[in-house]
Amino acid sequence: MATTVVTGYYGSGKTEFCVNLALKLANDAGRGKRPVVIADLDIINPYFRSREAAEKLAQYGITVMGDHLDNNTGQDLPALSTAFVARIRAGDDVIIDLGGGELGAKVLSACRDDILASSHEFLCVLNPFRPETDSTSKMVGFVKTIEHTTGIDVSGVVNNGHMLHDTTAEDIIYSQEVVQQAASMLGLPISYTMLRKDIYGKIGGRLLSQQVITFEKLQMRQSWQ
Amino acid sequence: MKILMKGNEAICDAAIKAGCRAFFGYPITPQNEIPEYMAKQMEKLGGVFVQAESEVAAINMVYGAAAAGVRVMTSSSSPGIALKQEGISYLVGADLPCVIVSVSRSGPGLGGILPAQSDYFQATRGGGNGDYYLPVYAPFSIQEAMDLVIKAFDVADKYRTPVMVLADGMLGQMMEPCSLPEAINIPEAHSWGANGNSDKRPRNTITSLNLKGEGLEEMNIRRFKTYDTIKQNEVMVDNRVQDGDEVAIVAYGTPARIALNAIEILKEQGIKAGLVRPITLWPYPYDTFQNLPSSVKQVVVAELSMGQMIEDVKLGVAGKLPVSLYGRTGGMIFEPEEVAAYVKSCI
Repeated sequence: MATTVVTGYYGSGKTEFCVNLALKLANDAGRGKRPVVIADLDIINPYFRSREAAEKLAQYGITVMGDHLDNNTGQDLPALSTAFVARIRAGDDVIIDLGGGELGAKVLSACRDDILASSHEFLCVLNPFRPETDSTSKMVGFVKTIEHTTGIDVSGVVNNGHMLHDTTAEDIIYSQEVVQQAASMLGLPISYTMLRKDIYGKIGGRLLSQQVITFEKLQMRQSWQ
Repeated sequence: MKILMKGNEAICDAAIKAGCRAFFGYPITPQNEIPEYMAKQMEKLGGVFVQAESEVAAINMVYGAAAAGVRVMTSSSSPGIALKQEGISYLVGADLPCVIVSVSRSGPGLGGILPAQSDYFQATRGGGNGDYYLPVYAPFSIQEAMDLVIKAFDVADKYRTPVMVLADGMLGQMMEPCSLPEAINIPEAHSWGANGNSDKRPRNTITSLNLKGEGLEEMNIRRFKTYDTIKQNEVMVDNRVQDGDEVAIVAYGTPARIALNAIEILKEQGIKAGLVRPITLWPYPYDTFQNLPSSVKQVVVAELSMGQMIEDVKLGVAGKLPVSLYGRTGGMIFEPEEVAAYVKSCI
């Protein structure tokens, strides 16, 4: 899969998912040495954007393309770099990390044709513990709004039920129920579940998604955050 | 049931829970989610939301709504709060209650969008003219931000004063699981409000105008008597220093979270330290520093500034112990390891 576009409501965990997906790809020996790129197109959030993790990810051969001002995290200019479009055209693995919600997804109009021309997935990260997506019907409405805004069909959802550091196994199972109902109403697969490794150890057998991404600790949050 | 809330959203939900149905503001990062959220919610709830043409206009709209006797809020960040100072002084002069949320960023001037605490003086010493103070609440978690916003409305009404909730940008932007406060009693609009009912009761007048020196002095003395009552009744502090602790680390807001991690690191290294976390920055918990256990030999202030709260800590300590600062500015945030290393270097 060359292009993976990741959308979701604010706080759904899009960026955490993008970073972990990039790490999973970069660590996949079977993939060969093809580059992994995260295109940080977040024009909504001033903090916790994937460009903050650029230095850390560079060690794994992952390039983060945010703004064209040296990925400066102290700016909230919507000055996005379009360098990632060339990487999409080159067939590299590009993960597009959108800003939150409908507004954050609007930037896709700048590169929609290139995404559609590439082999692509469009994933919507869902977290039922955020008030705007706390029910099946709200999740369905959210996915439809995103499709309407971007003109691109969502190809799968991600069960990322979380309470940041306080997430429990019960939270993931509850989230899976809500997400699964939404996915079946939308006729979409649960492409991924993302959860902490120790929780996966407890409930791994009960997960219904096509793939699972696990992490030891949150990439985008310090212990005190 | 718990939900995952962003600090800025949680502040709005708490304000709405407290009966706030009027909001006037102007966008600035890192508090933009507050006007954005209030714009949506006020419309749904039949309240009033205006994105004013500037912060100066917004604070004067707050003056108008407060004068009508209703619960009203505005929010901004550092340079925006600077612009509001004239209006805040007028609100104080007219004894009008309101809640001002300051989600601070780095400075001076335009500064940057990253979190900072260099507006401690601005919050606690006032930037407007005249003799006045504002009660200032400094949450260190999203749940506490919700609780303190509700408290801020109550204190504003009780003493007829503007109240500030000071959160650094990190608290505005970060998320945490929290639960909405239970339903609370929302007071009726104030009987002193100038709300157009003067044909049914004696006319209410709201003004700070008192051109005679004696009259103005009398108003100021009366207001400072109220301040004495606030000092007696409203000081809040989270003092976690225990007998046997060698060091007291003083921090509020985000640095208090970092300090708690630093204290754990120090514990592993055999150094006992405890946290003093002022929750009200005015009135300041000076007494806490007079009553520290005798085991405490050092006081370290951890601030995201060049050292502002440290002046109050020194007033509290009154020369009895060495007080020093670990500060970062410009939007840089210290890590627990840095704070722990600094504390270690002091002993």
